[in-house]
Amino acid sequence: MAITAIGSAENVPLRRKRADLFPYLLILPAGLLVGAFTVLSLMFTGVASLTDWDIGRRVVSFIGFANYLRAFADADLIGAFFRSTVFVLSVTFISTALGFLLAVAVNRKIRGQGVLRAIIVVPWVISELATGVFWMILLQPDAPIGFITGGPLRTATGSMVALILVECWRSIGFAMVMVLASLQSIDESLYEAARVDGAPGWRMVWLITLPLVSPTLLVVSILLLIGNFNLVTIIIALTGGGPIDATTTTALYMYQHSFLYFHIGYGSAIAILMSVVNVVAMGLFILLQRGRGAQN
Amino acid sequence: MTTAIKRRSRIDLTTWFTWFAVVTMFLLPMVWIVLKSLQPEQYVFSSTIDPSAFTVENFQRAFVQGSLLSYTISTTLIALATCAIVLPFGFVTGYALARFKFLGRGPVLFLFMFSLTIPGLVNLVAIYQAFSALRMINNPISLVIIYSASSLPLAVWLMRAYILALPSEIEEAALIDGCSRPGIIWRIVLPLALPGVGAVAVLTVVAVFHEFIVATTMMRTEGIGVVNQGLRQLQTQYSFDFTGLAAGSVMVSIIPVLLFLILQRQFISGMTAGAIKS
Repeated sequence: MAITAIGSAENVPLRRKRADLFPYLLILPAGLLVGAFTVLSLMFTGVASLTDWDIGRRVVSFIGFANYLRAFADADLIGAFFRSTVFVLSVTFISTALGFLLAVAVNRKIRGQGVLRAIIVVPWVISELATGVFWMILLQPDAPIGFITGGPLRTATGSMVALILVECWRSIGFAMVMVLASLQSIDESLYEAARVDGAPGWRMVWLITLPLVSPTLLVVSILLLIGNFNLVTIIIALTGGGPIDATTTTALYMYQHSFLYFHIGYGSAIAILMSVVNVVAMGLFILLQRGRGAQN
Repeated sequence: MTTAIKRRSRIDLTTWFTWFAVVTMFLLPMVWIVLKSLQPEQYVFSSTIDPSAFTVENFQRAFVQGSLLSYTISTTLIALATCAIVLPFGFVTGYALARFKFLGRGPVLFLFMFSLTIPGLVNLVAIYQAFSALRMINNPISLVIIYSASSLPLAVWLMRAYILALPSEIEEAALIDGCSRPGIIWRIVLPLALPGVGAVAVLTVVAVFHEFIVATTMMRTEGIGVVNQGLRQLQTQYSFDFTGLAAGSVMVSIIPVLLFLILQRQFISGMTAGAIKS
């Protein structure tokens, strides 16, 4: 469909002859705004990362890659990156798995399907900050959930587990909606055939549903991976990065250096390293997609 | 016969379990917070629920201490202004990328894709310095510009996917009949693509109501900015006023949640189209 649309637009003789400025005109405003933001910002950050720019410094000078060398030797940053890894992988895995299971459960002809779906998605619609604030209340040692779990926000491990689960609570709805959309495109006759063969329900989910929605699971995982790697707001609201630095992730560490201590140069270097992680994740994703496309 | 009965009862069990899991995991925490926001402070951690003792006191307090009325008005204005930029420019750009083949189309597509990958947080230092050089710190217009720039890549992506799925025959017929090209966009493509524009609008408005980190970096005046700043102000200044905080988090969530419940179809189609069709 998409290919024919472009092809047929080409066949209209009027558009073929001269260099046509019309599409450029349409793209110009959005392209300029987005280009300026992304490209210029990245260039600025790149240049700033090579300087010793700091709040107290009158003269800013280039110091080469010193900030990067500092980053690779910074035990706090390495710790933050380790915590990011734990946080991001846990959230991605749990949210995708539970989102998948809930999508399968909700997709059957179930009573109140629409209501169920809405309930699961509402947390995704509440802002990160509000989510962090009210889970902070729910997890107080005297509040019901906090009491059952022994006031998790008082300990380092408890805070990290709480942060992971709260973020899962928020993003499961997103994963479920995505999987649901792809479930609805599965041909019902595949299940009929399996049912005739006497396959039990859970086997059908494992052998038919899972392989068919696995491209969507990949998309969801990558989006959650990138989204959670750059997440700060919910951490600020729920734990503030603490106790001490137990929930300080790379993103929060970068934010603190840039906007609390005003180590602009060093913060920029961390920002550039973060963009590299993001771009690598996205590149990996595109490669996986291509590989899949070549297989089929 | 027996197998049929067996299967039905099993499905009922799964249904039951699904409902139970969803209600306890997702609904109960939200209900608890809403209940606490309606109860006097001394009941904050008690399990008694006495509807006759319900009060709006917490909301009044949150309203005043968090400047929430003022923040809600300014967030709404910022969201509308952002839509006024994102919707038309996102739509025409998506159209151009869907329907025209021109030199540089690949790089432009790459630019929008790439911008989706680079998170706002990474660019925040540069953006802050740029706006401070332009003397536009603490100016809501700078928020509108930043939110537009960060919403446009997804908007373009969604509009392009939506227009690609529309048949192009009508546009060609209109061109042969002598309709001008802007006329085609305005009279033919726009009406057909309106549901897609609606989806982008909902996502953009909700994104503005979700934003915190950019606003807290750029804005200094209490009451001007986004609602989450008001909630954060409550959290930092009255950190032990749990019922007030509950009321505050309910209040900043009302508009996005209502928008979602009313426009569920648009919202979900926007959420899914963005990722799956790319």
